[in-house]
Amino acid sequence: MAIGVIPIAIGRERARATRRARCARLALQTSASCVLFLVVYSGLQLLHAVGRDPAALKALSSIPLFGRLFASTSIAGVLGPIIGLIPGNPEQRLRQIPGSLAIALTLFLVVAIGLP
Amino acid sequence: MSALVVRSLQHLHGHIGWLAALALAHPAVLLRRPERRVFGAALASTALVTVAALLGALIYPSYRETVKPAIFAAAPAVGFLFERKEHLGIAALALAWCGLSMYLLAHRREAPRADLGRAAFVSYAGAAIAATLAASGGLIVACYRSF
Repeated sequence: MAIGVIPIAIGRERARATRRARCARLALQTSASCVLFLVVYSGLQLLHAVGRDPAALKALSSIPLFGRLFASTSIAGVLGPIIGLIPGNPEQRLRQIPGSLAIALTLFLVVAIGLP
Repeated sequence: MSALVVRSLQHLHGHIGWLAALALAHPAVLLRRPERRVFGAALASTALVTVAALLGALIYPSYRETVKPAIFAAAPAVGFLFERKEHLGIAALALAWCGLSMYLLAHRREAPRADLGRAAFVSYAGAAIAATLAASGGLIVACYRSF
């Protein structure tokens, strides 16, 4: 009887592991997008503060704030999901998300408060 | 946009902004225990900060034309405070959406709940801090000069 049960249990365990990995991958992609958004926005803000706004930003919007917002959203929206697909153990990398978010937010706060 | 409409939207933006700042603290506090279910609080606070941001974006062009030059001419420090507040509001919006996504993913079947719950906690805590700073900055600027 046990011989008949084991393959079913293995199949269920595999399906569970697949769902878990898929969920972890989605979380990595989302968090990578958020971290990238904060980092790119900080970078563009830094360039704006030193008077070196990229010309592409002006094409996006005549208002620099909106230009920076559109550019960071586009870059994060494209690169975040790609970064989330980098091979590796997604569950292990999940543990790094809170730290990465905290570092990105600190960088953002330093740039946003330090450089208007 | 008429002056009356802009003025009304500005008041609405200010009130909803403060509500959002307070509401974002709610899921942040509850998610100190990452396994907790806070769907209502997470969804409501994210919706509030989104509405506040949309209203802000709607009145920003009028602010740039009418209020900004006058503020920078009289008190550049207040003008720069407004610019900082805008950036902080954007961070609050991004982090709130990240927090909501993490929370929703955490409550899917077989999800690594504890790790995702912690990520949602950090996102909402960051969003609450950024939104409170943004709302405080906005209040100071509005006290100085508005539409």
